[in-house]
Amino acid sequence: MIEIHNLTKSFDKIKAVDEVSVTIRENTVFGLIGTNGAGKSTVLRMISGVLKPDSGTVTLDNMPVYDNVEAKKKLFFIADEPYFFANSNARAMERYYSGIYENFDKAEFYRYLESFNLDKNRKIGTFSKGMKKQLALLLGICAHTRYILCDETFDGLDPVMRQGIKSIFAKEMEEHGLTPVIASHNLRELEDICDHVGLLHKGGVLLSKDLEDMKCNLQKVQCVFATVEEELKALSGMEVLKKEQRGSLRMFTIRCTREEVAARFATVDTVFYEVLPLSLEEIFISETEVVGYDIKKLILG
Amino acid sequence: MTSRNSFWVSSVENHRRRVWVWIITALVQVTAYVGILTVYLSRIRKWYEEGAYITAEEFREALYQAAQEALGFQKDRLILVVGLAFLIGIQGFSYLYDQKKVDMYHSVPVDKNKRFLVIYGNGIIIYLATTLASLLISVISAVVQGAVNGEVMAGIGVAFVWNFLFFLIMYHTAILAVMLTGNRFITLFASGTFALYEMMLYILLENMQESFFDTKDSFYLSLRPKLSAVADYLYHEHEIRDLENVREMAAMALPFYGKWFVLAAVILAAAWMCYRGRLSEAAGKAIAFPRLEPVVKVLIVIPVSIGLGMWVYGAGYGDTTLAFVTMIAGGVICSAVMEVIYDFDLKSMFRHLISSGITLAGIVIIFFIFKEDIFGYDKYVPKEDKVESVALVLNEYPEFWDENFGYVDISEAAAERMYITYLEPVLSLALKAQQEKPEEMEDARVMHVLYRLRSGREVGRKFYIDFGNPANAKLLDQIIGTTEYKEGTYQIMTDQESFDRVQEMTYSNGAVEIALPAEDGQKIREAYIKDMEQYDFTLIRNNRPCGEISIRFPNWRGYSLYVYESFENTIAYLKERKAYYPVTLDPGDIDSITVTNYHNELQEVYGDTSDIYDTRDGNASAYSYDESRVVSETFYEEEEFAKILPVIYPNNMSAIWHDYEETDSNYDVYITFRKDTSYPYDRGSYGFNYQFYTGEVPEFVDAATAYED
Repeated sequence: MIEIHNLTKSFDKIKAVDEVSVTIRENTVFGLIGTNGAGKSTVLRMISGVLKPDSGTVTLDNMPVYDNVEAKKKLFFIADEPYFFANSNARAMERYYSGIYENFDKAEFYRYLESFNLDKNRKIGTFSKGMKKQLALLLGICAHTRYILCDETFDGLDPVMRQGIKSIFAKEMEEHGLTPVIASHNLRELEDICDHVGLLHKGGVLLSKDLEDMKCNLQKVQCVFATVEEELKALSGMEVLKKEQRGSLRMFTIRCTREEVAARFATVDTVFYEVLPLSLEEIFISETEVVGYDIKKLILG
Repeated sequence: MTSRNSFWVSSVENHRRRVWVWIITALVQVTAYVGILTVYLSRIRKWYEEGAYITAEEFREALYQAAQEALGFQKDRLILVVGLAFLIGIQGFSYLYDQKKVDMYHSVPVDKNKRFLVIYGNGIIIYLATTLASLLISVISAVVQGAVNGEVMAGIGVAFVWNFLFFLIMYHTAILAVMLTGNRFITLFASGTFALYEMMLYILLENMQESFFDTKDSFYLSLRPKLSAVADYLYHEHEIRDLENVREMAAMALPFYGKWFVLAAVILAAAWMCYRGRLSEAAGKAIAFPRLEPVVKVLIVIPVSIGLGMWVYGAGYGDTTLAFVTMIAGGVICSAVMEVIYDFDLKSMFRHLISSGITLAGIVIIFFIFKEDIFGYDKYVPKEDKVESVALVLNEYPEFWDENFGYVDISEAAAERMYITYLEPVLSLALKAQQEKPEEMEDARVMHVLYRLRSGREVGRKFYIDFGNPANAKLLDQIIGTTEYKEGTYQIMTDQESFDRVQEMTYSNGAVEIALPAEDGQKIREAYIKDMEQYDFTLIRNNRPCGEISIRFPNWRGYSLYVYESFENTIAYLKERKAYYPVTLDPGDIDSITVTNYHNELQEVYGDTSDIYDTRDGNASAYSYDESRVVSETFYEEEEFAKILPVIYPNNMSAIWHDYEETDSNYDVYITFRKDTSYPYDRGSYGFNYQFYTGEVPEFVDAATAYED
């Protein structure tokens, strides 16, 4: 488990991360979402031990990370622009990382290279940006560390590749208990990958929740009530986060389970009602609006 | 297991990343050793084969010497070693400049200390491997060519250790610079600054002292950096190189080995501490530790600005206002430049005005400390009870040599040999000198004094003494008359051995030059030392030498003994050898005397006469000559000779203790001897130049050489 407590980091008197506290549980895919400059990379660099926090703590399986080799053995950090040795190829990088990470699986690495159509002898300098990200991910996956920290690594990957990586993550999570932490400025990139999401804004955490929890506890209901009284009856005692009206058609975002919606609406007279699935985007819009932010401006642009 | 593995993996990987450094270092070292040796030896061979008149033994010695010069101590190696140390040191840790590399290197499970050790150790390996391989090839080549013996090998070894320790200091300096900066160019600048800072400060300090302090004297002691390895290399490498044998070389190099080893260790410790404390986000910044920015700014801008001002001072003929304005302007500009460099942003020019203000205040304070002599540098005269002894060099700079007839500077000789303990006259003259300006003195002469204080400190000062002031004569007698002064100034007084190896001796009265037997060296010395008992200021100021004994020793060392008419023992010896001829010539020996009157009073003076205050009548070069106003007249009559000869003095005879104005530079007197005279003058010469004593030119000469328009 990665525990981040009151983490603060400034660069030249500018606060990049301000009192962030997040817990990243093992065996989940944690998405760290935020605008450019929100502090995602800084948080990841502090988790990976590259940066020393000004204050606060980062522990990885109860070990401080900064300047701690034992903790670093458990993580693999892929920066937003991963560095590869000049004039090197995939083999050279494997040679380096397999010497550093004791569980590095060379056979698996070359297998993955083949499946991703990456030439092990080709100079990395000639790779496209996406190919470099794939290579960095494969190196990280094959290092078989418990945690893999990806900074904007999925941005720019095509859907097929993303799906491929997602499958590998799933397999690694199952087989080796991998915990990927993925930072991105794009909510849609993470929607199909993450289990848990932390939203960073201006260096602080706006929210940190399980996606499943958010999905299960937020319902979007579309309905036409027979009378106004029926509407009041249906909504009484419900936490309505959002309400829209188009003629007699009502749309509500309500914090409750699907079962609770069904039970309540079964007791009122409706002309029509249905419970619709919420996209991650809609969930974030609802959740952040509650705390006073306009998520569209923050992430969705 | 893993960590050891990762250590070697990191080490090997690090070498892979440094292949180009390996190649450059190897090329440089092969050229510096193998290449230079080949050139040197082939030059000697060619010289020998083309028929040089040397024996086989001399040829072999020449080969040994060439090998020693090529592979041993060599001044030019300083640049190479500094260049390689900076290259290897900066390249090794250059990943710290790049955030992408830092992200990778600092996130992988490699111990920070081990990473430092790997990079540091690999740098040493690169230097040592390439140097030793080049040396090995060179030595094999030299052995094959018969250019190496045990002595040469040992000399190469001593030089290798010297250069390796120097490399370590420069290498560590470069690493420290990397740790303190975040950008390649700034690191290079910082490395150079670290390497030269102390030396530059001392040069600047010495320059300011010389510019602003009248009594500043670098005669005995010059300001030498205490810690700078570059200064040690520059000032001492040639001294070691010039030594006769390896044992002496090693003995002289050994203290530097110790000092440099400690210095290298201290710099390395500082570099390592900075490495430990350096944060990853320093990558790409000018200064890695922001708190150091104002300190670095002050430490750089103050000396640079003052240096600029002093340069203008030197170029502007001592204009202090201009120098001060330049310093202030330099301070403002350099402070702004430093801020721009810190932020890589022109808009930052006037940031951190407090540190800029401190910098300017520092410049002003330092300038006025020197300009106004706030700490009384020129007023310094130690209390008598604080001084153990003094050495001094007054007015003349006789030649000294060592037991191998190698040149020894008078300053070194006086500092080593002269211990005057009767201090009162020296200190009195020093105090008097503070009351008088040299340009107001009648006959100002410089005295270089070395005070040896009881505290163990030595202080050198120079001041002017008025030889024309009779009140000073007694004090000068009390100095010049002492055995300590004579023994410290004239080598003849203490050096008996050299006089067994006299190669040539002559006596001259200004016109004759009589050879004396070389084997009479000790005899002359004995006589002369006896006569020197009467030697004091009064004697030499009131009397001119009546002759001069020139002695030549091995290695072209030479010496002149001035003979005064009261030197009975010396003159008795000369008479015994029939070598003595009075300085005043006999009219019967003269064929003609030609007097040239330059009529300085009619010549036009050019330039600023205030700068030539003592040359108006003394130095004809101050005049723009109109040849038509120069009048010459030749006299042939013996009675004319009789009036002229007593009032002239030979030009080539030293009169350094006398006022320049004692002889009249308005006239040249040219004497031609009779062909039938028995006078043993040098017949190869056309004539002999003399000068009239001032105010004693006979009237008939004046009349005959008068200018008529």
